[in-house]
Amino acid sequence: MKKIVIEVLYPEYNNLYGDRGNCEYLQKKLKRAGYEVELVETSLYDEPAFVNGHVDFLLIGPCQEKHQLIEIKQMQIYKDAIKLRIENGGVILATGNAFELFGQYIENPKGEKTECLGFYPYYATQFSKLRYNDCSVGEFDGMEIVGFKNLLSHSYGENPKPFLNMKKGCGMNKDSKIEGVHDNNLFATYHTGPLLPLNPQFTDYLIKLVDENYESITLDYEKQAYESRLKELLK
Amino acid sequence: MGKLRFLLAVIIGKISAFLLDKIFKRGTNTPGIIMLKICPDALSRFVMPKTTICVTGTNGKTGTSNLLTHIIRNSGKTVVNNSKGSNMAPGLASALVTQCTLSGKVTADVAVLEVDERSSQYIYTEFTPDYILCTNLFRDSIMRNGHSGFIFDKINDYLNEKTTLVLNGNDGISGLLGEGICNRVFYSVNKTDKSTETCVDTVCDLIACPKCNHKLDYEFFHYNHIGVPKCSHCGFRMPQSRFFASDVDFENGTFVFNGDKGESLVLPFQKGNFFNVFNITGACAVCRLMGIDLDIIENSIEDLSSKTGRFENKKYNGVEVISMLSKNQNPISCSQSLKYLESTDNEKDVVLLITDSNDKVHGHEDISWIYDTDFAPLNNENVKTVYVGGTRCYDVANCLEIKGIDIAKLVLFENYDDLAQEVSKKSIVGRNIIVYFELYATGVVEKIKNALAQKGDEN
Repeated sequence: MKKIVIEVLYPEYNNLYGDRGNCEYLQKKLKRAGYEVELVETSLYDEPAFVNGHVDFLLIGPCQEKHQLIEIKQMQIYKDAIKLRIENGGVILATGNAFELFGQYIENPKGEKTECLGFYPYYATQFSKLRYNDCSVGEFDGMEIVGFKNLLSHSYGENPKPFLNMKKGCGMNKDSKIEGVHDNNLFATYHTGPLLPLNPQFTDYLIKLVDENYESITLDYEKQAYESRLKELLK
Repeated sequence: MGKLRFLLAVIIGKISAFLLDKIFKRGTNTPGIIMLKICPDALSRFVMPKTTICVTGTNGKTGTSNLLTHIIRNSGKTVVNNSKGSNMAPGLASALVTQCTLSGKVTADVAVLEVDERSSQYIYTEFTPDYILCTNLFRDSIMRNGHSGFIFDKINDYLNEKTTLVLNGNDGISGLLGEGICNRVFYSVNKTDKSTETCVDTVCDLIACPKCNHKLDYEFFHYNHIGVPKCSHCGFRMPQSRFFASDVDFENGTFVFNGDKGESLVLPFQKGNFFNVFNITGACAVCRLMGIDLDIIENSIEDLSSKTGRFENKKYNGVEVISMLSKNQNPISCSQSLKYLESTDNEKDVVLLITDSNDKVHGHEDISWIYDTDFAPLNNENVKTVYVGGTRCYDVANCLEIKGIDIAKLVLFENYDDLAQEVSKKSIVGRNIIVYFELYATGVVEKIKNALAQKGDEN
């Protein structure tokens, strides 16, 4: 039985909107297909497992804006390891405002800038009191990805490697039709919450990146939930 | 000009409140909406009573403010409150206009006002409450509330130094409100027989220290993040509580309320409703700060103890239907009410109407919150069938399967009429039907009850 390692980064913060659903669903799908799953949860001041060990899936969820600025400082320590992981094709799924970590900087409502990992040219601006909700559909590799957005920030600037072309809902900001980053096997998106259980097909796609022999077992519920949502959103 | 405008608003507010009360026999927000249209700063123009108390927080606002009103009235004072209207600015204006002079002087001795957390900026800027009691802060409806930090700032940014904050000393989130701004008084509940060393709920909203961001330790948990947090890295602890509950006796439904002058009282609480202990302790703390006598508090709580407000039950030809409100998109409220399934031994069928039944009007629902909900009680062997209703029933089923609920028990219906018929058809005498419904699904609960009543008529 093949063993798969999932690492969740900073679960004490990065779990605002039912994001645990991603990890729970990934584990369920893998176990259903006969894999053994090891889950590693890494706290803010601990060294992430992927830095010196083998991790198949690295999950980073959204966090509160003030915590995001603290997290970035920690992630800067592992900047080279993250870059190497992207170059080597390690899978990373970053959801919600974790997308912003890979850009240039985040500007808070007071105008103060916090430097991010700087891998891509976009930058983020946090709102002071506004919140942005959205139910959206984006296209990736022939798949229609459905999801929710709950944001107190938007991103601007160049984004040469977008993940999704939006069919419904906004992209990285209200005027943008592209969203997220897809670089090798890094998937970063503004979608929050349980993105994977909402998109069984995309989950299978991610697992196949780790094991091309993976054979999916998908229940009717998963398909029905996905199809009914897609139909409603594209209506 | 402003004064005239306010006078007009008060007159029209009073007339509309009177007429609406005669027509609908209940309170509404309409008088307040009209008033604020005529005079947008109406709330700031009322002459507030000698004591104004606002009650806010994620859970327990209504219970706590009703309790406060009841005790203060028993102490011989007159109270104006917004229990009949909304907890936003129009609801407060509607309540105040019914008990004020034409010049806007509120005639009641005390105002007890429930305030929606997100409305702080429209309320605390208009008048300065003497006390704000914050029950707790949790993650709540994502679409409305974002996250707890967002709500924290919404309250904290509008606090006034003249207000005394009464805070839950077991909550490391709301307990940080008003630091360096207001006078703060804490109340808490001591360790009980049901306290745990680790958090046993799916959601814990405070895992890292709010001061140094290292992993937080807890002496014990009451539920979710409510407990006694302490940081071994920076030494962070919650401030000492001036008022606290001790000796919680779950079997007999009693606890001891302890005041800051060494006084204590044995008080009853609704059995099976531990949150009630927090609500009573918070309300008693405010009453003591106001100088209300212990025996008045004691008598007030005692004559409330027989009332239960958590759920409704009614029998239809040997089938008991218990319906419980599950606050919309609130994973904490939903998880807590599901725990009821573990508290009784009889067989039951469960109906989940927890996703938005009015999504055709409200728009596509963000169902992320169901992944933060504890559904484990559905696995109890006494739960025989789990009906899931509504357009999002497949999402709920998917989540239940992921969380390890036995899917052989599930029956799904997108259509509520079909669901009601099936629940009635398959009902068994002696087996209870427990319906969990969101705010807009009261009509669906009626459908189920009607179907059951009809079945009885046919037999």
